[in-house]
Amino acid sequence: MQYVARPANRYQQFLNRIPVLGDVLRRPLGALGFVIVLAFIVMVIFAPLLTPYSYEEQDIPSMLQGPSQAHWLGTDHLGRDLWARIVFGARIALGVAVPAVGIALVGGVSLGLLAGYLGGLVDDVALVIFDSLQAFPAVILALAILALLGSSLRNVIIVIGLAWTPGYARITRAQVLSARQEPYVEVERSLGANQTRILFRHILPNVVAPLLILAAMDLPVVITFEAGLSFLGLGVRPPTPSWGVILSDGFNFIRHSPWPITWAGLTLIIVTLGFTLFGETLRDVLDPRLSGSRGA
Amino acid sequence: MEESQNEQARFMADEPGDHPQHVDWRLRPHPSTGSAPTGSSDREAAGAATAAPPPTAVPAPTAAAPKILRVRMYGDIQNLDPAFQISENDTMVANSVMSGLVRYCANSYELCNDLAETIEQSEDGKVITFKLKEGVQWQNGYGEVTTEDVKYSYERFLDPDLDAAYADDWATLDHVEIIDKYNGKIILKEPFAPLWHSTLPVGSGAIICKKFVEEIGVDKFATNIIGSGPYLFSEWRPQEMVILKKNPNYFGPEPIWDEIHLIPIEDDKAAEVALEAGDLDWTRISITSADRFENNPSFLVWKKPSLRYRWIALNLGNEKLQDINVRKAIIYAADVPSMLAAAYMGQAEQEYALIPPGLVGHWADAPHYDRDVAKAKEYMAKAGLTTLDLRLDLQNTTEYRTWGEILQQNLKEIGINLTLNPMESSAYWSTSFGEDAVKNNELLTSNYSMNPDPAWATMWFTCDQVTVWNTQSWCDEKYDELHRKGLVTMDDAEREKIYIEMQKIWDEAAQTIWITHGVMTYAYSPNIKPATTPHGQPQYYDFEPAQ
Repeated sequence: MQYVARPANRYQQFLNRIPVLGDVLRRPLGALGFVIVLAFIVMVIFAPLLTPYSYEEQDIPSMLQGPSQAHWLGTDHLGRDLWARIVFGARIALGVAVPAVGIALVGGVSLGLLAGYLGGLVDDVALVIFDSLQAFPAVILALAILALLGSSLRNVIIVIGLAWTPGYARITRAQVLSARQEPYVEVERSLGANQTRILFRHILPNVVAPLLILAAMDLPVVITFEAGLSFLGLGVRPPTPSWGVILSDGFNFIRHSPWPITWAGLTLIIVTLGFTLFGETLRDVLDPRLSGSRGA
Repeated sequence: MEESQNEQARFMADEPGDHPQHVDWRLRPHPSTGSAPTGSSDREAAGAATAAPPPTAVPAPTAAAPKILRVRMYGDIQNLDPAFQISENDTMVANSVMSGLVRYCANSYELCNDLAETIEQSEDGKVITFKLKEGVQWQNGYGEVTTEDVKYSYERFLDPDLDAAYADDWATLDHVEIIDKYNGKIILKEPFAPLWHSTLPVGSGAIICKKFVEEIGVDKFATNIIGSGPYLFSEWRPQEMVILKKNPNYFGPEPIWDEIHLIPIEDDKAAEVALEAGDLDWTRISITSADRFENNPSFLVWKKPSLRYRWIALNLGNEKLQDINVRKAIIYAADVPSMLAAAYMGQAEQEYALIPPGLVGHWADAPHYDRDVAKAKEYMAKAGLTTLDLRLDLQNTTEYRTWGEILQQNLKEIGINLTLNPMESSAYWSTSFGEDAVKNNELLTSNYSMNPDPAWATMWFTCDQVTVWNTQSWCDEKYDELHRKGLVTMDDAEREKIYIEMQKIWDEAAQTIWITHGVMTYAYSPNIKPATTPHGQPQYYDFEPAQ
């Protein structure tokens, strides 16, 4: 039988050329997640091109309108275009989630590496700090810190980064404790390698993969968390269009117009779903042992 | 006078849900004639004058079940001491626990005798002679209410060591003379016009137990009160609930409710959900929700014209706002009608001065500062500014955020970058007032409650209030002088001139963006029959189950 290459195979060939992402895209849920995440990122980058309106441009006579040709998703209680606010809200969502998770990742990895590798008193002190921070529910911790610092975009990022740091530190520490017993570390040590070299050249690369998976899966959680803080009035300041703020204001006018809360809620659900599907598939691809489990 | 009484009776008979917009507050009985207030002898008599109960759609609780009234507070209690009450929440709780010599009858500005068996004012207005009801007991076994307690309760407002927040309520008090255990005289240095409106019938007129307060100290008394009123302050669970229990030894008619639960819920919408879920019997609702509850047969709506005043304060204590041209630029740039349309769905009327319609001293011809961007830019130019950074501190509710976001947009057009600083309620109250606030505040959203006397509005903006409640940190000696004059002027026509003159002085200083007096809107279960003052302050001790 003669083998005939079909067009679909070109897609398979394309996937073969991108090792990890290709594996993610082969799975339907992973592909769906990727498409949503990609659309979200496009929205973030090209926000000013996607809407003719400014997110803060008010038009009181047009307040609380439903979807129309002029305003695709309708308007909020100040007559602002909801599509513009949703699109620019994506920037806030990603603008908080990425740096916050970045802070948690860098801080957590650094502390976890030190605690796990040095052990002894350093480990004990680090554990006490991790336990203390984790003893507070993240929301309570955030409320307390934001009450002290005041609410702003920068402070929200710092607070979320701080609240998420112990999680990364604990995983890093556990990975380091396991890795330091590995033969290749013993060999390095016996060859006279110093601790810094062992930590950063040998142990760190071996613990990065699970942390990146965790970071990918934390992004939707942080996006939701930021929306929650903004809903409570502790997130970004008006008129910055966080999805949480749109939900909060929409909640107050829900009987007059359900559109603000509908669109902001749907967007939050879809983006969270996209990141979650993408993150879980990525985890399955990178570490099949964890397949089916949620979180770290 | 007869016509006036008829007018008031007509107002009081309005069905819940009606909104008399132009009630003449001056029609209430007034002691300026020198005669004693024409109050009924007790609250039962007052009840006869209340509005007819609304038809009930849901059966009332059975007799066997404990009768519990569940109502909303707008925040937690802070200080129940009559000399220092901070919010309406404090007042509502304390009013159910404490008694005064007189109090407002249900749904009325008529005065009912409370602890007083008789009370009358002398011709010259300087002496109020009273006789206490005999045998009235303090709660928790602190003995009988006597003239010693009356003397202690009122004279403490003059004590400089106490530094009472409401010292002005007793501005002309000289002393209280004890004749015997039940008879006494309140001696004033000068006649005091607000005495029967905003002193004796409200918080500052409450009689507190001398023995108890001296025993526990003023600090503890703030959240641990006893009184001689219909309910006992039984339990306070911070941020959760205040429980008042029936006072079994109450001297008046047996209190109706076994317990009153006052639940702090800051957000109107959350309170509306609680009402719909059956967790509350009565709550203030957002004005924008009135239509919805009016169209729902499971609830009734109660609307009253509010005496509150809402404004955006421009703080003169801050160097950025010391140039009047900057302040005028802000005032002319502000689009208040849009704030009303967006925040209240157009259901609240714009206010133009401090004292609300219907009250003595309302300035009907107050200037209207309609939005005029060109003029605002001219004032910016006069101030030599092309750009300015300012901050607006506000409580984090949709109402104030809406004001703020519209003002932010308005000011942007004249080169002012306004940063909004939304704060949780307690953070707002603790950081926006006091000595530090005089320099730190820039713009501030404000909303004060009010008793039915113009002096109760003007008193917070005198020079000695600059570090206390004077949000504009504005001080004008002529204004202060007129305020003092208004307190001792008993003639209404003369008072009217004084308070209008004060508002003109205020207006010239250009330190306020007036928003609205608003409307007090409540929704409630048909199982209860509420009672409020005509300006909508709940009188929980007079609430009844619907028949």
